Amino acid sequence: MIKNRLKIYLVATLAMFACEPDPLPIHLELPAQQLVVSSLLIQGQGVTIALTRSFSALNSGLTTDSTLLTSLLVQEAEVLIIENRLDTFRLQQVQDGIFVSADINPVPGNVYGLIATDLQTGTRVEAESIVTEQVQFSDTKGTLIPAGDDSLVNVSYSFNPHPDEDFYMVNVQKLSVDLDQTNLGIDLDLVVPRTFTHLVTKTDSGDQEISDEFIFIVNEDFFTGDTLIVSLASIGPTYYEYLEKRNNTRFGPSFVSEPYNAPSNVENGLGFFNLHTSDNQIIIVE
Amino acid sequence: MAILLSVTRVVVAQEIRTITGRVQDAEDGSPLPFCTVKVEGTNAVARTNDDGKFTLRTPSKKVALTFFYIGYISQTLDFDLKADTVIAITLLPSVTTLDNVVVSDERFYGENQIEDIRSSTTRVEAKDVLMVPGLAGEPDLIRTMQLLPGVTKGVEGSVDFFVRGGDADQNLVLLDDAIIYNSGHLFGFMSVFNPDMLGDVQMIKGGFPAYYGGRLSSVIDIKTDGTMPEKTTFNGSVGVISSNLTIAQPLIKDKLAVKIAGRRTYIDQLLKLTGDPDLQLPYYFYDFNGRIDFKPSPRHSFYFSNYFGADILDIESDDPDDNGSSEFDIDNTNLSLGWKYLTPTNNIFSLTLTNSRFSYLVDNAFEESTLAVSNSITDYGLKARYDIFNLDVEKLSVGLDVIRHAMDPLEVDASGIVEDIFPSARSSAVTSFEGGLYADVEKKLTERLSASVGYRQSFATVDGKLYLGFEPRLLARYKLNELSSLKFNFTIISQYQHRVSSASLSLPVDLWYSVTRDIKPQRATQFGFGYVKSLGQSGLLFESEVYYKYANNIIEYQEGTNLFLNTDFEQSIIQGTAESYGWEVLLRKKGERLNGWASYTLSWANRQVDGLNGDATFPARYDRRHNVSIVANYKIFKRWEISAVWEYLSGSRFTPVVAQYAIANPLNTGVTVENIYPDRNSVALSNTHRLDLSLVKKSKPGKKLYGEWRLGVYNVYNRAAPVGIQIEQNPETGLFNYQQPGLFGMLPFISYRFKF
Repeated sequence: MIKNRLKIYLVATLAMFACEPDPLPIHLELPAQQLVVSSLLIQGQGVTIALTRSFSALNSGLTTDSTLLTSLLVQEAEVLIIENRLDTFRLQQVQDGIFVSADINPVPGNVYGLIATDLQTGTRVEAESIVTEQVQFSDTKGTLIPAGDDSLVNVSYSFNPHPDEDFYMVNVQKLSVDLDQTNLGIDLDLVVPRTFTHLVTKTDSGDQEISDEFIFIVNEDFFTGDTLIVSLASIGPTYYEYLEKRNNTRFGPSFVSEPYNAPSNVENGLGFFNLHTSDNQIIIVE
Repeated sequence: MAILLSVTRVVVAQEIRTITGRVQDAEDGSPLPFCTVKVEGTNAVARTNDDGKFTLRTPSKKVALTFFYIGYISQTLDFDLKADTVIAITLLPSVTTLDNVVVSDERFYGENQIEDIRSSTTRVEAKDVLMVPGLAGEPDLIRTMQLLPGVTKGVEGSVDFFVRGGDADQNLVLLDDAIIYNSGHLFGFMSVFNPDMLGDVQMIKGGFPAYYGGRLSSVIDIKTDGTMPEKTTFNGSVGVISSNLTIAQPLIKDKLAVKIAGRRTYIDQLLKLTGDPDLQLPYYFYDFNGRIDFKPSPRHSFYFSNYFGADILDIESDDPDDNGSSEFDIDNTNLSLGWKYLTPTNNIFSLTLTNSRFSYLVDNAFEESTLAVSNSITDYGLKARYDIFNLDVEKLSVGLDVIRHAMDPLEVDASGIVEDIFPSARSSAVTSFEGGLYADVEKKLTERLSASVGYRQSFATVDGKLYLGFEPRLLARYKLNELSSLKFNFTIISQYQHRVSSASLSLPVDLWYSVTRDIKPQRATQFGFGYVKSLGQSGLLFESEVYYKYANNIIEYQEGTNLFLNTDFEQSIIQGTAESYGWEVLLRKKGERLNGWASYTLSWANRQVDGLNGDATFPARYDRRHNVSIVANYKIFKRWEISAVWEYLSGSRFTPVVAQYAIANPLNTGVTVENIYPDRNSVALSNTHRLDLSLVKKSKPGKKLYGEWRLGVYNVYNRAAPVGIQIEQNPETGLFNYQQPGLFGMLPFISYRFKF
């Protein structure tokens, strides 16, 4: 026993003298800010374009909040959308970084070009998008799976794919109920929304009805009778590729993932100019 | 002067007679490879092989044979050569007889390297390993090799190594001819090789003889010690991390002996003694080496060698309700069975059967759910080789080797709720055969010029697909004078197995994968030009070499690939080209008081893979421009020694996050934040340097129990060796800045080695 104690003291003494080295500083050349494009198409309500700027990793320490994001909105820009390379629509700025045109009524199969110029910096970006066909759910269902502290929901769905479209996304997010105001609204966390995107290709099924299911991790208390919003849209191949890479890196420590710069269809900028219409459904979890 | 000479007449007289023999250490009987044997008054010179054996042919009837070996007293033996003759000779280490006096009775230091045709090859002895102050005082073969020119280390302290711009999986590590797939204990921070079992060890970085194949960058050929002990001996050590004990036992004098060695960490057991539940480390590793040598006659020798080791992490949850546990088990097993036969014509036939198995299991349980991840690779191999000496060349080697690989790359087995998130899946099991047929001929072309020409026809079959590798080999040596020579080597080599690991870090749970119909073999072409010069009686040897290597079909992964529980990783593998070149310098010193070496490497390593980095060329992860190592051991007094290692390393390459942006998520209910990376591996981490010191006190000579105390410090001035880049917030200013953390700071250690 005495020998054992001696060993412990010896190891402990050596450990006390061990030091953690101070990290070394390093200076990195940071890239110039780039324009970032996001888009939203709502049938009958036109097209909305959001313009923001990228930001240095040292601005945030890799954590983001709404204050930072608000500061990135482009304050002054000219945004044009050109339909089939013929008709030009100038979007109206409704607030910092948000540009809207209700006059555009995108037609599936037509080509729409985007030209956006940041009037403060003179930066100009361009993108092109083909409007995809809208598809609709045939059926959706959510079933709660008891899972201790977490809540899991099995989401099942079916839809008929469009003959001209190969890539689809099914998105899901929790809806919350504000009991005080009895308002139903999206559980909106602007920065880290708990959404999940399930990707589908019709390669295997051809044009037959696609029926599948997946698990959505709610990550908080969730009960039978609570609600989810589920959306379905056909999307372009570049956006599909981006979402697939994003899904691949959902789990596991970052150091086992290969670094990647997300693909983009924006020339001289980042983000996506997408024109697809979603079928949104609200489901009550059983 | 203890010379043991036995002369056996084998064949009745011929005009040109053959002398074969074996040279051994007089103290422990170990073979002395690369010993120079010269027939005085003639040009006949031979060199002993790995087993200390040599063959000479001479027309002389009166022979004076001189034996030269570094660190040993040269011997000259006169006798009448009336027939083909077999001799055995033992040489005494020079330090045994003349203490504290510089002995330079060899013709000159480095003669072996100057004579040798091979280049890009370094022998490492157990005493080199023991001389280097290791991490936490643990002597380590791989970390010693990382101090040689052309070898670049990965993460600080890790035993991963990168040779001449290659990947970690391009190093063939052989233990008694069986492949070691995972050479690391302690999550890769300590190698699996017990220093007390080491026999002959050589590292080959280029100019591979034709009997080696299968990996592009290097061969680490480790033979365990097969000497016949004269008496029962115990060797061991007690260190901060682990302790080991080695027992050598003769069973039949000079015919049958057994040697076993075991090693285990014990920090888990020490912490158990504290009784403090918060101060527990449920991790340990152990390994076992066993070797049996059987020499029933002077012409036959057999050995059986076995290694097995495991790393075990076994965590149990404190909460009895959640039934949580996590077990992580890595297993390595190697078996070798060898036979060597000295034919009546004094040629050597050898046959080796091998078995290697590497597997790991990560088994997690929580409440009603389980998640197990497993991987294994099992090899069965055969090697046959015939070395012929009685032809009109110095040596002709022919042989074949074949290995059956059975790979179960990755299996994810989940149950309960976890299965809904990580569905049970497994990647396709692959069985493949790999091997080669080869011939190597070594000939003295002129008085100064010798060459070795070889050819290896390698092959691999998998899933009905046959891959062939055409692998010519050429080695040449031109002697400028007695003290210096020029060397050249050329190699084409193929690789049929790959290790699946991320670009950032190699882990013990990386898995091995074979070529398939879609994954093509990696192939490399390499040239090297070398210069060796002995600085005479000063005990200094200077070696320098430039090299160029080009490889195609090297393995990378598509951008954004996540290898975590990814059973479909094959779909993410992409292949490209690699180019590396550099200049290596090694200055060795052998003396009575001062021993060691200084090395410098200037190197470049670049890659190009379609689909990565916009198809543009990018530097390899461990493209370190300058590497300097100085290793020195100085005998202060009879019983006191001091050892030091100083390393300077250019920073490795990294791809940090430099910016971010936010885009609308697919539901348009918020944003997703994406990272922006610079060009792949475009950022060089800071250069680093480190000093390790140790002081050794030996026990008085003549005692039955010989002991050595070692007290030392790793990273004396506590400088970080960057492993990556992270962003930290300054608590005073609130501003963020980039930092490069290191893993190990100043780490004192103490250990005790003993022998009786």
